[in-house]
Amino acid sequence: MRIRRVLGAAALRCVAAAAAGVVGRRLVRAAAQLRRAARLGARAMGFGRRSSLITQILTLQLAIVTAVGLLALGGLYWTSRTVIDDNLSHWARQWAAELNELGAPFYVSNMSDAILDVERFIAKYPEIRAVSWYRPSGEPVLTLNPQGQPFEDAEKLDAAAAAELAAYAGEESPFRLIENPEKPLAYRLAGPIWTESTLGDGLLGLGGDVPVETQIELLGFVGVDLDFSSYHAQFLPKLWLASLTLLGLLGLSWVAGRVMMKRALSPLAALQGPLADLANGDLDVSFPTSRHSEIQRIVNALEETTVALNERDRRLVHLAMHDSLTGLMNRHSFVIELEQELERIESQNSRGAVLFVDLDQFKYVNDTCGHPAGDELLKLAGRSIMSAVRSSDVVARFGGDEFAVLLKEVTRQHTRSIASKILEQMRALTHVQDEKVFSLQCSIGIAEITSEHTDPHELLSQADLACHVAKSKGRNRLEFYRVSAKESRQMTKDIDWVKSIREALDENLFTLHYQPLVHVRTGIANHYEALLRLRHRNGTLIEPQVFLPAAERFGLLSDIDRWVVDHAMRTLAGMRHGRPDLRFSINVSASAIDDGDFSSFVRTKLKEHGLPGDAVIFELTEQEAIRFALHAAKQMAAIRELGCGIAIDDFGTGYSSFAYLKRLPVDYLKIDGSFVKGLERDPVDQTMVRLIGEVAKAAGIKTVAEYVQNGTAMALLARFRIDYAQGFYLGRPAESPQETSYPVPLAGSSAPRRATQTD
Amino acid sequence: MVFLAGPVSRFALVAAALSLAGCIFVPREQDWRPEDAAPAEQPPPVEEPPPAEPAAAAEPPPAPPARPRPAPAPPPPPPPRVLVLLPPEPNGFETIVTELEEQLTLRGFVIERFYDTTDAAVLAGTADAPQPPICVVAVGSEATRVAIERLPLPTVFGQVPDLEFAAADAYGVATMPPPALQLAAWKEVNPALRRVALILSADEYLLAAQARQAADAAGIELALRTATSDREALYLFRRMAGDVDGLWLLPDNAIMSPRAIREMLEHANARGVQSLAFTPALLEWGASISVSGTPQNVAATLADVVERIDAGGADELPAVTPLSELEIRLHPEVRKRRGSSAPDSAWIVRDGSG
Repeated sequence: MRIRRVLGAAALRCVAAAAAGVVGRRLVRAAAQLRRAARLGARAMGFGRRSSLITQILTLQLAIVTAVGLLALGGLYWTSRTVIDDNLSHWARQWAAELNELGAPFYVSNMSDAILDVERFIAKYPEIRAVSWYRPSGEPVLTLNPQGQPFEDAEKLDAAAAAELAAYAGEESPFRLIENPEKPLAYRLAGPIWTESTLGDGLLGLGGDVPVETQIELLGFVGVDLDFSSYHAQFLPKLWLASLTLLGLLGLSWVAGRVMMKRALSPLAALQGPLADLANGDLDVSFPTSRHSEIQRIVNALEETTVALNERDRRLVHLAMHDSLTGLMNRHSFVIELEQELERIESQNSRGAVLFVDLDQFKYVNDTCGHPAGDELLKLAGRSIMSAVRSSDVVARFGGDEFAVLLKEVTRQHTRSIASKILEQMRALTHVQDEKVFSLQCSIGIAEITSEHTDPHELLSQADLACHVAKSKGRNRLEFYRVSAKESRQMTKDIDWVKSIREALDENLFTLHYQPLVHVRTGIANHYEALLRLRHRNGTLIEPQVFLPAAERFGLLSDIDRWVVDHAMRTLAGMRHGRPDLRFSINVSASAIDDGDFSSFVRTKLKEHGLPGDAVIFELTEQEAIRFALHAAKQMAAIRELGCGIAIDDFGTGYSSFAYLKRLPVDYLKIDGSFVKGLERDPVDQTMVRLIGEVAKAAGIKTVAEYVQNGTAMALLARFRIDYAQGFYLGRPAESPQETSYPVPLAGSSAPRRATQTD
Repeated sequence: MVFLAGPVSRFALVAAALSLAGCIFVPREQDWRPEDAAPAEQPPPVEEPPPAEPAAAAEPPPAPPARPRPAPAPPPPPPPRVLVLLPPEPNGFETIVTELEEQLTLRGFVIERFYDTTDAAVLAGTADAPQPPICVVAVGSEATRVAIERLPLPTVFGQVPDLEFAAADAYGVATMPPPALQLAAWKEVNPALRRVALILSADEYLLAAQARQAADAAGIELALRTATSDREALYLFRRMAGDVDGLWLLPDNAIMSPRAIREMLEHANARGVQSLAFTPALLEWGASISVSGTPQNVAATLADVVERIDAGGADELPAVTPLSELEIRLHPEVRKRRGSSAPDSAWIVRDGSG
């Protein structure tokens, strides 16, 4: 399940990255995640460089079995010894019953037969080392060894021993068992041999109350030397043999178990290859079926996952390659198509054309009628373009009101004809919204493709440039790109800038400088604006207005915005330990506002750097804020919910509609520097600044005056009740926020006084 | 020969055997009495004196002519006295003694009971009395020895395993039923009996001869061995046990000890050898069958011998008078194997030849 989730997330990331046009690092991250999913899958299957599951199981099994086996052997040894000892003692007592039999030579008339019997008896029991016969006096009569040979040096029983043994005659246990202290498991069993006859009428009185009276006649003694050590000696080698056999069987079972487990797990191992393919992104992989239900369930789950991933992949790829509003291709897929067409044209030496179609005055429709109306108009425009081109041609929407068309195998005349048809059909389009009738016009820039072209972005730039030319010539017309020396240089510069920006993002070549916003009345500077700079490879710092147009044209603004936010917050977090009231203003582009995930990104970064929301203010230019008025309002509201502030930069230029101040959730207005630069000289500027300050004050919005260049301007700003001032007079942008004192204008005087930050 | 009881078919075989020994069967349940036995030497009926004349009459008869008055009849002789000498502890003999005294009393003898050791002096005095007893009946070996050694009287003895006391004036009664009767009874119990082991001491050569004769009559092969001690008897039996299907135990003091008997029975049982014992007490030790004389028969036989002596027929008496009855008892296991439904495992066989 986890694998499935990770795989899904990785695929999503990959596609999402592509959809956003930021294929670079995001794609790398997505690929890394996909690889991680593969590793997880492989790990889940027990493969890879880790130790074998089979070996682990078998080793554990072997360890347990060995431990149990050793315990069993120990127990076996102890039990066997105990049993043998007990049995030997028991057997010795059993043999005691045979003592009378061994005493047969004393009482059997045919002594030779009796001795033969004894010899046979001895031969049956290897533990009998010798049998000795003694007279009642203790004198030895004969001693036989197991081979039936008599001992000549048999020792005499001493009188005490003979008397003791004689006392056993007639007893129930008529023997004595003595352990040989010099030799373990060796005993001497000795007892008397006697006959018993019945006296009087005893036999007739058997079973009566009176014991039967008998007469005992002692015939002699028998001694049996027993040696059980041979059993012990035989037992140990057998125990060793049993142990070795057991160990051998354990080893054999380990090997057999390994083979069997490998065979049993082979269906699982067979999944390794397909899983690796899946981890490498091959969603067409097929998994081998298994006759084991457990593994088949895994296979089924993997196949279901693959099918689901395929479906999701297909959908996401479609989403990534197409514009969700019009269903047309997006910029990314268009570029791919264009690349392929370039290769084909190069190889076949044919021709083609790229049309850049920009709807005229579309922003007016969007702003006045709202996004739904604008969206509907965009759909109509897309369909209109599609109907004007051939089926082999490619139409894409680049975003906003920009479309692109790739015409294949066309002459210049044919291209013109198709472009004219687009113009005509576009003119014929009308849209009724709230009883208002909207008509559409467009400007078309055309870049012809020859076999000399290799860069799709260059072609798009040429078409875009031509489109701008068309617009500049009155709109609603088409214009072919004509390569002038100046335009060619600009195009080359743009392409160079795109490469530089990508390098800067990848290699962290951007840097931030900080310029203070000084509180006009107190002179305190707790508020700084983070300003982006690009450090060129030659060491010079490049202002953003130099490279941002190229970045905007090539869709890199969003990545730049995120880099700026992340690094500014990191710096701010580091500085707020000593200056807890410190705040940063961060400039973001319209792309950031257009990015639906931007507020989530901000939330994540605030949390990551441990910053409160109110420590950060995001600055948007007035044009961007108003351009995305409705959509931007939602994004701004989401950001403000995090506690962050919103500032409108360059206020007073562009639309300059005070009405937007009521619609947008704004905290600061930054009065455009064109009103401040000549403030002390131009009464109109003074009036404008004063009016903006009064309106903003009435709306509860703080005001910032940029480009403050002298104390007189500062004094005027104080008089106009402007809240903050920013400019070289107060501080130039620096690599880190500077703690210094700033001039505070004296009330009613044009000569400012100096105040420290601690004032 | 007369069959008094028992199904004919069941005892057909033994009947044939017993017919050779002149036996008859008497069921115990019939409360057998010596009177029921075949007519034996019964004492001649005592002639009663003629009835006396009546002392008085209503009318005296006329006086007969005077004749000389006969001499008065001599007084009847006093009843004969018999001494009964018992062991000091008559273990197992009580029933026999009781039966004996009853028999002798019924036959008109006066009994005087003594115990061999405690009453020796009195016994000697009694024997030397003016009217001496006609004989002494000694029960048991010790009593017999005392009687023979100390009393100058004919001695009738019983319950003596060894026949060492058979002397000129001593008359014994067999301790055991005749061997032929024993084997016939055993054969009746176990018709498959073919080979029987018997171990005796050398002194029992007469018994051995009787046993051999009885075995021949019963169609049984007798493996007879002679031993000098109980150990040797056990030794010999252990080596014979594999070749026989029966062990015949006879009371031979010289080679039989309780320990040896017990071990022989254990060994016989371990080898599946059936055993015939001489006393029912050995059934508890594992013997298969016991044959023994009945106390009544022993007592009656002793009384018969006394009567013969009293009648002056001592010279015709054998040294040992055989018993005419035996009692058979079965071990419960044997009885179960035979499928006997009789409530009691004992029955009596009577010798019909006597």
